Amino acid sequence: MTWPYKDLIAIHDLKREEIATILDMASSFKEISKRDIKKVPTLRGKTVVLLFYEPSTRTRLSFELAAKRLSADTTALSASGSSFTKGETIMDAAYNVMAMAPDCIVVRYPYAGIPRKMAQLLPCSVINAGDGYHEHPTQALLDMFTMKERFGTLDGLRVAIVGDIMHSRVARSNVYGLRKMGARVVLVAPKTLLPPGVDTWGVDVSAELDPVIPDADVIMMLRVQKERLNRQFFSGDREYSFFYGLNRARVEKMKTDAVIMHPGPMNRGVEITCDAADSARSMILDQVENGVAIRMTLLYLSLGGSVNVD
Amino acid sequence: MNDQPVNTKEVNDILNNLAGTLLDSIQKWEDVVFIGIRSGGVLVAKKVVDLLEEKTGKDIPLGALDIALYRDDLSKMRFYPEVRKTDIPFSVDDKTVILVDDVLHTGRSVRAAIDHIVDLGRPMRIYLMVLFDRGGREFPIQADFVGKQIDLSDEKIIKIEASEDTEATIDVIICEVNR
Amino acid sequence: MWIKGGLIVDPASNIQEKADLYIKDGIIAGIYPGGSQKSDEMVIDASGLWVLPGLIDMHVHLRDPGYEYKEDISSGSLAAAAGGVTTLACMANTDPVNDNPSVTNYILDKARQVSKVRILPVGAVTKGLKGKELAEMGLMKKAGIVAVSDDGNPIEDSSLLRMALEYASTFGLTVMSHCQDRNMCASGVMNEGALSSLLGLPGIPPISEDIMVARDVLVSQYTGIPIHITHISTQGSVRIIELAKHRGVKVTCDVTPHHLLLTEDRVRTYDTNAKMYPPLRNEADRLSLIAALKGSLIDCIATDHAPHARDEKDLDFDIAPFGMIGLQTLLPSIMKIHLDYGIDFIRLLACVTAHPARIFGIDGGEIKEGSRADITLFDPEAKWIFTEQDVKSKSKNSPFFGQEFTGRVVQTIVQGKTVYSGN
Repeated sequence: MTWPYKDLIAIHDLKREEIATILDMASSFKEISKRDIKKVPTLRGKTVVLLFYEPSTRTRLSFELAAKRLSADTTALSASGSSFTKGETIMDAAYNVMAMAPDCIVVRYPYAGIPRKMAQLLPCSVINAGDGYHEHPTQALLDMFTMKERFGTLDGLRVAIVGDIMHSRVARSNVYGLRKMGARVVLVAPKTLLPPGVDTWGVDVSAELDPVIPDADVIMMLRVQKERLNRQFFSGDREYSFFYGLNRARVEKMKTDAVIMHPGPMNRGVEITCDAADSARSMILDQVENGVAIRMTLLYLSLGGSVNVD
Repeated sequence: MNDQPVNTKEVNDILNNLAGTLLDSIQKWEDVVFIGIRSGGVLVAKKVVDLLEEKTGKDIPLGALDIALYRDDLSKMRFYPEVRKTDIPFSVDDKTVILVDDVLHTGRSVRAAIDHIVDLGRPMRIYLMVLFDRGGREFPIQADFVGKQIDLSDEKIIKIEASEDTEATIDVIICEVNR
Repeated sequence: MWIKGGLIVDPASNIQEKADLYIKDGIIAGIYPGGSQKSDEMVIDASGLWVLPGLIDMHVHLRDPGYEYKEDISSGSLAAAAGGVTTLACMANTDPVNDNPSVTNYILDKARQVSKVRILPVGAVTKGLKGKELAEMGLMKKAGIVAVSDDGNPIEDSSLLRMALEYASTFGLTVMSHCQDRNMCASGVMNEGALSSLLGLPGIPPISEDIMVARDVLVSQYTGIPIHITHISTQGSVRIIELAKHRGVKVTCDVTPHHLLLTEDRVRTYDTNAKMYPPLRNEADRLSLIAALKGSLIDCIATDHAPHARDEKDLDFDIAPFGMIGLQTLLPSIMKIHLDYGIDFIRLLACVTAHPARIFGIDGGEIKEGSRADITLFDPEAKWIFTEQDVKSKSKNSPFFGQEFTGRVVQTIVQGKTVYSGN
């Protein structure tokens, strides 16, 4: 098996078979986390730098555990993106990190495009841990892995993604991935939160949540970013949760084996009520668990040697 | 490519002899478990376990070990090998482990397998059983149970595959490869 | 000085013919279609070359005063000379803003000392470009501005725009309007559409330009005062201006070479050199601009030359400043449009000579006896690739790097003096 990429920047870049490979391998890596000794020597001597320019606890922790379970050394660097407006550019920072010879840089950045640029300019592997409104590929992979574990296949699966699609890198990565894997995706949002050009995405769009619920195998709720309120995208929490929130009444209308997902962190009481978040249908903690396995897989694949060597 | 299948009868004889030797050597079967190294070792182990269960009337646990993550040559490889699941549905603590591989050559796979097993627990002891020993050791590792000693030039490899012939269970093919 | 053997191309007189030019005291003293006498004076052999009126670029940011690390009057004028631009109008968004005669005087004084080309300042419409109070247009006019513009900022207040048109016309000044509904653009950094969603970059909807173009046209119609819309980029703007012109509204407009030649596709690599306002639009917008140019709906081509330092442009696409340099690629771009779309070169040339001269009400932009001897010699055959090494500006931010062009400026003459020679 050959893995042709040193980097993972976007699900948009991947082919169906490549996504399938990742999802298949992830179950092998998941098994490692179930052992008493949750560590294999695979990436011994490799250095993984976590460059996080946006607050994140869960994704950073997940990458850190993934790297450590493969015996890589990790070091994390967090800063606010705005520090780059005074003199040092993000690329300066990247070159500085590069001078310390890491094998892989995992980067989270508040604006789109920086991981792609770093991947082009740096010789080490670059894994995108979320950039602006662009993509969050490992989140989509762990979501797809969770769905595949639950349902056996993604082909024909009906997935509803609900909420702020426009500003969601998670939604974008999931749409690209799920479409490639043959799932049927429906996006549910007020029109103000749908991205321009959504008609070219090959998905259904619904302004209402209720009619979508009985058909959905997976309902993925996106986090409502409170700061969006300032920009008049919707009128407030109360109206939002009335129309787009997942509550007990809506959960009861779901298919028998349908599940609830959320990339976290949740706004309990806004897009999801406590009884929905904590119900037996909720896969939210499975998503977190699977995140480590997916990230181990990607570290393994990305660090698996250079494609430039003949 | 010059493939030479080893005939089914010969393979079955070797497997039967291995099972016989094991029965002679091991008295207490209660704590014995078999662990095959993926993928050839698992096939060999499965066949031997079948024979032993027939003869002892006992259930003998069998697990599969994937050593891809324990290899010592990862940094030299252009691509990493495919990772499959390690599937050992029992504890190895205080067990007598019969570690099974298809071919013993440099000893590096066995080294990786032992490292893997000790990460899973603390067995009482580990025996090594192989279908073929073709020499060429690079590590100080020897098998406790050997089906057959075989001399092969470096250009040749032995492939063990699941057989479509129900009589045989496994196919053994010796073929030449370009290294 | 003689310029002999070249093909004179002059849109003002609609002449394209081989002739010798005689220049004396900075003035075109004679044109000799039949060839001329032998003379002791200096002779420039222009055989095989096109002899053009020096170009007028009506939209340039010289960054001086205040941002001299990006560009200054001297470096900007060098870039202009190398691009065959002999007259340029520089925008008011300097620091301090050119909203009073002392800044205008500073620019003109410095230009007299260091500039290779004629520099005509554009004054601000409002004090500090803040869109609140009118600037000292009359005094600036006396000091030497040729037009007023808050370029970089839209005039959001419609009442103020009306006042600005009326007040500017009192002093014979044209308002150049930068059309942008700021609220609709929000944090947008590229054209809004499927591509902006794919790249995860906030979009600038085309309608945010259209709305303001429509508003400007209505205010112009209502007051009966001409208005010039600068850097139009959308199909919508084209349609609105077409309609307005048909109805007799005195609206003129310009378009940049990059909006005529490039599309949003250039943003795919997150190259900040392709970030500018208005943003590069889609192919349909671009083709509608080409068609409008073909149909003479667009009056002028101007560069919106906007230098930014490397460290500023090296930032993320979201926060890097808007703008690209353009002076040196203006004429080659025009040639490319001529070659690619079969629009007569002389008509395109009018968009950077006679038309801007008319809108500003200035001399120049033509080749005739008695006019300013501002001449650009152009080799129409030369093939070359534009690279960073060619750039005379202090800043090297252009999405045209690596672009092959046909036609190159060989020599630039301002008032009879050679200010650039490519050899």
